Amino acid sequence: MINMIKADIYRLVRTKGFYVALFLMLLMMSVSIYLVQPGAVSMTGEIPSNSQAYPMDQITAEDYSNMSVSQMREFMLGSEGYMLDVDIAAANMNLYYIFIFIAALVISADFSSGGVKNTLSSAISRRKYFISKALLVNICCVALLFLNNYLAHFLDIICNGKNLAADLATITKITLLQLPAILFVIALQTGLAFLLRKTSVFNTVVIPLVLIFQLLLSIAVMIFDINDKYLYYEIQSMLSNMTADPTKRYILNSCLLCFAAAAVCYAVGYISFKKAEIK
Amino acid sequence: MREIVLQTRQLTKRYKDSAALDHADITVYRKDIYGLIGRNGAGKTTIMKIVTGLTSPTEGEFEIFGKTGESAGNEKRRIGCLIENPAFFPNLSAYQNLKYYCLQKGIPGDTHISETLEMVGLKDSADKKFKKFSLGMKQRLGIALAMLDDPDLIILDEPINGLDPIGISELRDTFRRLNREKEITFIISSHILSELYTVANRFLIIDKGKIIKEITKEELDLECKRCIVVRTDDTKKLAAVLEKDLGITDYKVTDSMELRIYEQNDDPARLNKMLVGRDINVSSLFESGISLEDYFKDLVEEVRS
Repeated sequence: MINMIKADIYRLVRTKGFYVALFLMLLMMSVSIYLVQPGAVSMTGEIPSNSQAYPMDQITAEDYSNMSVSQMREFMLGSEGYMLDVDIAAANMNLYYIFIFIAALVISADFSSGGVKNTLSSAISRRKYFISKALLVNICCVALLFLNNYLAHFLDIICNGKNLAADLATITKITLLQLPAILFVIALQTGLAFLLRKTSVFNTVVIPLVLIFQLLLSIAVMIFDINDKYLYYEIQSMLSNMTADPTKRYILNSCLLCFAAAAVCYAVGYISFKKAEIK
Repeated sequence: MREIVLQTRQLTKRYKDSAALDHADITVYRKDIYGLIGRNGAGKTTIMKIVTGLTSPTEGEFEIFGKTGESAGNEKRRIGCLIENPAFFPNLSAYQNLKYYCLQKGIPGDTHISETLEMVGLKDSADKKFKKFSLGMKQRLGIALAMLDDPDLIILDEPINGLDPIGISELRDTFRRLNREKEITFIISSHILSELYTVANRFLIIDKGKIIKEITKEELDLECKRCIVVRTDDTKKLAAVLEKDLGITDYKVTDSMELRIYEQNDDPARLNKMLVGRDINVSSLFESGISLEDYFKDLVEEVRS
């Protein structure tokens, strides 16, 4: 299994897609740090800030639209008590799209190229194959989470000064609190990669999945008048809420929910892969 | 007694209503070069896929290196294979692709890769990306992967597809050499029967998932050799007449009703007359001797009818 992971790392670092993923992550972070506000991919386009001191809440939409980029930056830099690095972490659902690269490169590319045949026919069993692939996707994606949160913190200090940054302990705590939700996102993509196998099918399903899920959820909320508290457990809300000093009960419920959902995703992926005829 | 490398028992693979493989019993011995002969969709690849774990059988079982079931999976490392088309990562070079599988299998050092690439004639293209390879080069790299780990059993599905005549000849020599020097067992399928004939020592003829015949090269030679086939109710008496009265010694009793004479005979009608004159009850006498292709076609048609 270790050999399998070593081999995949050897391949991964020789693949352009891996560097494109890193570049996109750094690009998103750099734009956020320059504009002094996080960006997010979501249905509403709303920035998932939990900060009480979010400066944009203090100005009107008209003022906001009349501001140039440099004026906006000046305005944000003058804000007291706003922590940009925390809000960048709150928008970590963005990483979902970066993780697609990793899952596609580690798992789907093997199925699309047919390389999986070579491995399964003469190297290791399907169980070990599944575990090693899932393990590598987890290692890469968790590393990206830590890289994203810590790099945002340090770049924020370097570019915008200490006033707009939280302390390192807070960033570490947020990162660890976000871990269960991130592990669920990884499990979802790993499960889907093993279920759908071919890269094109995987991408077609997984890219719009979050937006479709959020759309269906909004419709369900409207039709069935669902209690708002259940929406706190939606994955994007969960990642965002973990940055806003959540209660112990909320943390526990989120962890249980994420781990259970992750287990289901892995089980579906594994069972489907175990039964599949490799072409 | 020869060591058995692979033995299948009633191996069956069904897809909905059709059977890709129907109760197949085959035996491959150590040091065999075992040729699988069959038309498209005959079940050759299905046998290979089941044995290598790419698909599971619907019924039956197989024993590989003396192991069955779950423990057979542990013997995978002793197998090298190329099934269907050669599959590699297009963005990696030939060398990097093999390095990937070396890391995966825990094969140390890089000399092995260079040696294997040289063996299949790809040493000069080691740094060329797989996506830029021609069909023949891809095929060679697939064969290189199958040989990479010095396996005990190499399974090759249509290995000479897309290769030029010189490449085919070189690979044929490589297979023979590995079989002779390293005692590697080969299972090779091919549509090109003449090519398979030149390397294999045992053959499996398969059609529509059913095993038609398992035959050695010597038996195949005898079946295809020019001869006169005599059918009679008493082959012992016929053999005695041939030896004592006609001085014919190069013959073979193929079953209780049939005898084949391989000795040159220009006049079968005269032979028939002589046999009848010696009180041999000849039910039929005809000339035989066919090409491998014709033999295969006749056999398939015979089974179908």
